[in-house]
Amino acid sequence: MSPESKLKVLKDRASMIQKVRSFFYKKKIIEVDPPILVKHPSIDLHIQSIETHPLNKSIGYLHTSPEYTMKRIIASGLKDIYFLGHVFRKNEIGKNHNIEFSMIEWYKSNVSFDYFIKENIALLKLFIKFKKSISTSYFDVFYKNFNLDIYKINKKELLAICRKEEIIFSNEKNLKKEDLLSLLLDHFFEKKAKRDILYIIYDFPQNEAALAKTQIENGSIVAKRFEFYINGSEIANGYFELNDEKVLRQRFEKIIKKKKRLTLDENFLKSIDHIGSCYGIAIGFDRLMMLKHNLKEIKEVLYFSYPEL
Amino acid sequence: MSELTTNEIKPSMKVEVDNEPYVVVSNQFVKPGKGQAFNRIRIKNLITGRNVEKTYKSGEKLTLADIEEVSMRLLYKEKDDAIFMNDVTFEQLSIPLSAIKDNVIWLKDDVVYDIVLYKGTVIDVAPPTFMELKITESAPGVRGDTSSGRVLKPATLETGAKIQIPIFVDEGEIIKVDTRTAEYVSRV
Repeated sequence: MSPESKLKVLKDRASMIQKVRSFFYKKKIIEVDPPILVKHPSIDLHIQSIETHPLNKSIGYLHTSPEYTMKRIIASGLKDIYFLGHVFRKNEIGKNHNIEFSMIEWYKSNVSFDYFIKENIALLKLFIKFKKSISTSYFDVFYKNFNLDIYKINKKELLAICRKEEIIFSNEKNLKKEDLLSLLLDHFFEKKAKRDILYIIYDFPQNEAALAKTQIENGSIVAKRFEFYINGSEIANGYFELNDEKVLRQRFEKIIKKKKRLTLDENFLKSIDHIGSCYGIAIGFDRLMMLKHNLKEIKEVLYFSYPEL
Repeated sequence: MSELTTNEIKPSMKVEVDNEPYVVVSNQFVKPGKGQAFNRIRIKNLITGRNVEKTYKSGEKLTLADIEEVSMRLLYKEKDDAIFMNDVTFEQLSIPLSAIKDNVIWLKDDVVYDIVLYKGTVIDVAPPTFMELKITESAPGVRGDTSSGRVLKPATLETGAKIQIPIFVDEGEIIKVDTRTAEYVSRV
């Protein structure tokens, strides 16, 4: 990338930050800038927080998303809010990943799924054009494209499908069924999905609920979670937000059993019963910039990627 | 043997997979959704030349291959072997022509080759990209051949390589050849 085109992208970066802010301003969604340095790590099996030592020997963490603090803000009464800023994820470096990246995260109370999706499509359209959007349930993506039933299929059958798709593993033994499903999903968006179309995937398996509510749909318990994909790139992840402390605590404790170093943020947990009915979403700002400028590497839309520092 | 985790693996590193040596072509970090992180590592088999892409769980370890690369000068060729010498240590190495495989057609005395050993066994003898070689056999170009679009003719070089050369080049001349493609580059 020439220095001139990089400067052009960086100038546009500044202008897009401005456009996102005025998008929310017009909709009376209030900007919040909660602390980046927090006292507890994110409770997640596959996302690692970066540790710091902010006060004598105490351990602090850089937030991996502003989710916990924003939900405390919502519980305190500020309902419709957004964050646009930097988040940090340990060990995530690659063509599409940088340890530090920019996220748009926002919440809206007392709205329908369709309304929330429509608002987000308008937000994405500030960055990119797409012909149309296709909404598909997580179950249907697999059923329609790989002819497999995610509930009935076993690991052996999934491995056979992966082999047919030329996904070869170094070690098949250390993989779980959900690993294979998420790789197949990624494979679908990278290799098979149509270009310039926004894919909205909704109703995830219960074990991928994270902080989303679960509901029964067509006889199966599903997580009210949704993800956006365009041109092979995962750009957003949203939830119909779980607002039940007891259920959330159970989910967190299950994860802590496997990752014993994690500590619970009691202030956050106590607030969750009071967030009401809301939808929330986290959108990768840098990924949108990559799509807008048709760039293949995240470092091309950043001032300095971590390896370039 | 030393090991590296997936996030330390970089292109051009030599790794050992299923008891065979490979060179890393690319390493892509993938993290689908909120799930487990993976690395898609494309590797090329140093013996067969075949490319494969394997998916590793991030943090998995790969073993570095016991690969040694040395530059050695060809002293002379025998019936079944070629004798090389290290210009620095003067150490000599006899390599069976069968191990040199397709590159036997580029063996010329006094030229320096890049020799790759895997666990002490020679797996590659690479000639310089460009070599200057004498044409030992080629029929004169026939006038009029150009009109039919045929501007090349077959020739044999001093090393035994058979290549196509332009019709205006004659037997006995020295030419520059690209050993990767076995193509004529220019007169010398």
